Amino acid sequence: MNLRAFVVVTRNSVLSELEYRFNYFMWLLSSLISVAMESAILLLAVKGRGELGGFLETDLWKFVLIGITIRTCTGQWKVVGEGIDEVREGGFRKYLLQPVNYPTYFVARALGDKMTITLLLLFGLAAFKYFDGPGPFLSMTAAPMFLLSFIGVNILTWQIYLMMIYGAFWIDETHFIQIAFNIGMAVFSGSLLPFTWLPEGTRQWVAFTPFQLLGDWPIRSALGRMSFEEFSFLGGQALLWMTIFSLLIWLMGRAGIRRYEAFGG
Amino acid sequence: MKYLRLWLALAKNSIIRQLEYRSDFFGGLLLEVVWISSLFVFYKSIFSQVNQVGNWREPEMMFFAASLFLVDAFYMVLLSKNSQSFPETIRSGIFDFYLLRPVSALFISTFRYINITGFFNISMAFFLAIKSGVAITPIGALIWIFYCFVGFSLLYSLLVIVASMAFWITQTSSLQWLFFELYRLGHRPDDIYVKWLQRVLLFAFPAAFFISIPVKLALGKLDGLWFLWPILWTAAAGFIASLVWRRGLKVYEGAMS
Repeated sequence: MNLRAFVVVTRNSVLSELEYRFNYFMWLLSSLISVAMESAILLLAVKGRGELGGFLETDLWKFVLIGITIRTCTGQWKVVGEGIDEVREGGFRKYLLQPVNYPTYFVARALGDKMTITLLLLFGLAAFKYFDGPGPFLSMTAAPMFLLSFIGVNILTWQIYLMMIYGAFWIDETHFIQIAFNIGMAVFSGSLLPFTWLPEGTRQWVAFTPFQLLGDWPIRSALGRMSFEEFSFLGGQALLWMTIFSLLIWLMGRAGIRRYEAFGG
Repeated sequence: MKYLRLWLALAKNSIIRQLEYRSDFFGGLLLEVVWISSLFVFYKSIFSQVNQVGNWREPEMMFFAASLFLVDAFYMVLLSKNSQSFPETIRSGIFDFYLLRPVSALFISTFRYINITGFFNISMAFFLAIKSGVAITPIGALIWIFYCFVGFSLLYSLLVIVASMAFWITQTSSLQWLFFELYRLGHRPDDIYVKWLQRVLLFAFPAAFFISIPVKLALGKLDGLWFLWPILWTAAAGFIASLVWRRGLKVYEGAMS
């Protein structure tokens, strides 16, 4: 990997993101609206009961905030959209000439694009203290587990998005897969609702996909509701999926670029 | 009649265009299936834990979800693509050609394209409304259809206001993003929100009138003056939209001619 090129692309991506300050306002507003929508229904359901499905009111608040943080930080609408369009419209040719391969470029671009908002939200999570909850938001044991799983989630989503972009070599329009994935991920990963609340049948088929790793794994780690054994087991699963995805990305990239017909000069 | 014939011709043209790209078409259907099943699983999961959320029981919430599919499907079929592409027609000067045509420029700008995959959601909405098991009278069903139409008209008027900003500021994608985020608040019953937000959705940005109020009226949860409010809001928004549009036309300077 060309480390220097990686750093340059990441830096450029951060800078170009900082140019559009209005986006930060919109991300903030979008996150606040999501908080309002998700907390409203959950808090109303728990009201007068004290606990709901094993969650106290303060736990549900934390759940909502962590879930939104993860979804905001991992959702790569812009970079993936650009990638798909470049494959479809011929712009992809420039990556065949540049001294940095496309997966490296994509990761640097995705990392840079979400770097400031990720730092902002993680700092917000660390600083947040629920008004009548005991202790800090993330305990000393939960914090490292959360950070590790958070990195894992990001790597997995980058790989999934990269496969979507490469998918455009065969099926021109893969934007719908991106949107369907983002919608499905919110519910089936356990980041919109606790994973244990999902119907039994849904949980059974989700177990054969990496969805649980994309929401439930980091969220329960952050809430301190996951034993080290379970954390390690899911971490092992994540490594297995990463290996499978890496192989698929390599195969898809090779085959896709071979059938790619660039145009324009 | 002239406009209906024109719309049918435009619809036919859009359908042919969309069916040319089959993977896109089937992908759009897949997307709708994922969206509907996600929302279905979301509410099922909540009601597996509780019998009632606020004043809403499971059948009522499922009926609300069906209404959301209905209004959102019409938004997707008729307005989504048109509202997104409108600023580009202003920037590129294509709007000049809309002005030259012997029909309303507003009509052609807002109903030029249709998205056929949304029709799937319309049929699913009626299917889910029937399957929700909610007790609704025939009058309630008529009220539901009428006020969903009123809610959709309000949504249309507000979108016209936002899209018309393109006459002044050219780049309106951020405004449209903002609008969509606020529109999202209407995807839940208004009375689940805290009081101040509920008031915002009733009196400032009337997202409650898109889906929530029509459902509550149909289920008999509201009565009296509430039957009048959605109509007044829609009339006011329609008036402002036509005013903004006409002002916008006056400041528009053709780009290509």
